Amino acid sequence: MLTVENLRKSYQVGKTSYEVLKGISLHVGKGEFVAVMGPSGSGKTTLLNCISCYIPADSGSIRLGKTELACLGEDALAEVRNKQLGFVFQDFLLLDGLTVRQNILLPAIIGGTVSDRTEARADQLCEVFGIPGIRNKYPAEISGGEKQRTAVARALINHPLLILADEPTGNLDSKSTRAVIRSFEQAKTALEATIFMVTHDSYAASFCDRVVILRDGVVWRTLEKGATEREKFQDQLLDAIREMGRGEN
Amino acid sequence: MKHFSEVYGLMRRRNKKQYALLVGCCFFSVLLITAYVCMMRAPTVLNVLPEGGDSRKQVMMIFILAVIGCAVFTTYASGLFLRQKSRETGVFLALGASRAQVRGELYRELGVISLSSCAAGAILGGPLAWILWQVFRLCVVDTEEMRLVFDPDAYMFSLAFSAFVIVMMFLLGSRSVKRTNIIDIVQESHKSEPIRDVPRWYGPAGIGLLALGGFLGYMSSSFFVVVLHWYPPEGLTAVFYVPALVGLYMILLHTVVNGWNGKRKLYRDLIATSQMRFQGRQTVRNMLVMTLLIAGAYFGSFYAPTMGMGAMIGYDTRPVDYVYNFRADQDIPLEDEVRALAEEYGVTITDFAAAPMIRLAVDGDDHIEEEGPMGTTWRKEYEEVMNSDLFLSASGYEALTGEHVELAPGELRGVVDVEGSKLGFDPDKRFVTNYLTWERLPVTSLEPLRFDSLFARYVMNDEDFAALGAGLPEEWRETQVCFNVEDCEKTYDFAKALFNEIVDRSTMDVAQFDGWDPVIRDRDIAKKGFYFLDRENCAEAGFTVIDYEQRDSSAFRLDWQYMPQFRVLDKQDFVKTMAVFLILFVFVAVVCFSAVFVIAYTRCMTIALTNRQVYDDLRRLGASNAYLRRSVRGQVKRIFLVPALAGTGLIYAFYTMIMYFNGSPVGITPSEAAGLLAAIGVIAAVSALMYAVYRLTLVQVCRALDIRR
Repeated sequence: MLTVENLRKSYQVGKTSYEVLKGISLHVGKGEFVAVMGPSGSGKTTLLNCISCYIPADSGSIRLGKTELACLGEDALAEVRNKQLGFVFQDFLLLDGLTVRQNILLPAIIGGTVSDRTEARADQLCEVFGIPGIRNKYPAEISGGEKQRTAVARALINHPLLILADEPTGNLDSKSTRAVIRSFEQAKTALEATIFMVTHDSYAASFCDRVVILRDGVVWRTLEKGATEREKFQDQLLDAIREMGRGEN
Repeated sequence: MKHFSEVYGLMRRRNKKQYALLVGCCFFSVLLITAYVCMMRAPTVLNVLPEGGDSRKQVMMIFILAVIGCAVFTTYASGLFLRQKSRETGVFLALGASRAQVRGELYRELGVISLSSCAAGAILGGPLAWILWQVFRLCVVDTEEMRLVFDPDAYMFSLAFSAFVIVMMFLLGSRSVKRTNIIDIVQESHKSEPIRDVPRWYGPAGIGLLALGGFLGYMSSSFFVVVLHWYPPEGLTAVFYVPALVGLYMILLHTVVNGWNGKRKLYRDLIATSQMRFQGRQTVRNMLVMTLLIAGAYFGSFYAPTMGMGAMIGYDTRPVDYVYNFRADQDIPLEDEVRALAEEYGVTITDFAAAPMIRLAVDGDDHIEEEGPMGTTWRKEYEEVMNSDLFLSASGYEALTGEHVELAPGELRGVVDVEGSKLGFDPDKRFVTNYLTWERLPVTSLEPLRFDSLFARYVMNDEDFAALGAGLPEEWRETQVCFNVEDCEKTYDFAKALFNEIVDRSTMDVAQFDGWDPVIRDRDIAKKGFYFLDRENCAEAGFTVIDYEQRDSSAFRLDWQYMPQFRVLDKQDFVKTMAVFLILFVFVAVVCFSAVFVIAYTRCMTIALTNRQVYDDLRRLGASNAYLRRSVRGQVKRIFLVPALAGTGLIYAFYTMIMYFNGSPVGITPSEAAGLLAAIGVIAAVSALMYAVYRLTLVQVCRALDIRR
């Protein structure tokens, strides 16, 4: 599904160059729910932005399915973002002027693929994520959790190969966080979605199949959940983070 | 909703205010420019603004300023609109829209907005000018001269400005789509516009440069012409104003970056000051344009009150109620007829005096212009017979003024006004010549006499007057009449009747432009073959052709050589006489102040949008609404207050300097002082309006940032 190989990215600040990603390689299989964690400055968001094609990588490879993203031109990348990727942002990025249903349909509208079937899918997504009652409301009229569930539904409208989520629970209270994570789980189980999530939140990460922990631009450790109970997996994550902190000190 | 354009349509309906602001700004700027240019290019106005004259230059200068102002505020309004739109553009791009797709929709919107608003502004600009003009005619004055005629060419300016607006919008739109950074949108971060550290000496140095530039700019023209005898090419003197502009920029930069409070209020103003600092460059540029526009607007606004006050005081201080003179070959009413007419109107004449005058040639310096490698230069060439002037005998002067003047043979005294101003008149003469008999008298010029109503006459010994006047035909003889009446203010109808009588009975021989001189005429015809002030050449030379039918026009009243000075008539018809000037300058002020208000508003709203995150963060840190409001007020106040103070102070100082230097001798006369006082009245009124706009903007900015009382 998603294969990242030896990805490097550096930023130039004045005359100084900072290498943020130092040769990251990872793989996300179809139907997997993978989280990336790490302290600030570890390169999580840069990794996500490179995968999203928002910023170009310096070197390395990002393959989505059989498509090498680095080789694509601007229009082709837009097509990939529209048809093969779904996005969930920390700040939701819903358009205030559109209703919940219209926001969910937006990627299809942009792609010019709106049909009765798509509209029916938007309604179905509203049902799946427990927001059918607010489909005709505007973002200003709904809660943070509802906004994020709307964003998840929007990310899924075009049947993407992969959902990319950037701190999706960062602006939410615990109740809304639970609702959003549940919607990711539903997306995974009911809609066979593949999810790649960047988060600080060990609670949110504990629902994932696998957690990749970054430190200083490299993969420091990967934790598989397997059959571990969620609470125990969260403890493992917290232990790993503590260990990483000790290592830094 | 199935198409991308439908999403745009929905967003448009949702964000009506943003669209309305942009449409309003474009419409308003094109409307103002069209109305202004229609008025400025109207033959009605051009007829009263002499070509190459200061008034026309001022109107043109302020027009350029207004165009810059309108161009700036439409650019900012477009920038603000696109900035507000950039979030949705970013979302579209993030969700997979191609830039071409977004650009297409944006161009379509910009096309509709720019074309419709510009077309509406251009179409309605002419009618607006016409309506304003009609209102002015209805309320103030309605003469044939005031009939507004449009020049179709004026619309070329309007079209050019509209083209600028349209092209500018598309360029900004294209740049906006190109630049909209998805990451910025995703992270909701904003790019600030930092400026380098500004040394604290920038403030005082800026004030120094401003004063120096103002002085150099104003004086350079006189220096080149009077001292170097050289007419500098157009625009060269403007270069000397550059230090003033640099100084102004430095002052504004210092104000925005350092402030004038030093460290006293560092913590109280911390948020406002630091936020302003990071919006530095654009804010300072905005403020600079606003300052110049405010200065231009005030320059226009001051014209009417200063001129009005000056004129009113001038009329009041005239020593005689009724003054007129006429050539001896004209059949103009004298004492008996005037008294009879006065009786008819129930007016009592308290004293009546008439005295003969003769026109004699005097010596002086001829002003000869030459074209050379450096452009036009001039030199003085002394001529014993230079031009002609009117002379009174000492006894005649006494009869008119009641002042006894003792003059020995060969002694001469010029007459200047009561304030001692000699502007345009040289009372020092060495020779007086009878132009027909060529009898010449060497004279000694004594201290000038002061009597407003006889300005620029000469007084000579009675025997000299008789000797030099001998043999002069009627065309070279005149009669000067002065009389007073009881209750002068109530004698308007009589004044009007007498004025009409004088005009009706004047022949075309005296339908001459003020300054027409038979001596200069002869010399010009001998040298060049024509005299520029002859009726047939006046129009071509840009001077008024005197037409008795247009006796109520400003041109006639200002320019007829034999225009009587009747206090009550001049006072009551002042607005009528100066109507075209008044309305034009009032209009200029309206255009400039409107531009200032729109720029300030859009700038404040931009700052609100840019700093939204900061205010949200401050709120999270526990800042109360009162604290946030104070911080917003600090920024909004600075955007309004600094240009207002700088622009007002700048133009007031400049105006005072003009008043000071434009007289001869230099100094502020009582009428100029009254004019300057009237200008303070204008400042107070405009400041009140500016305060109202400031309050309104503050409310809007607070609302945009969700800061409640």
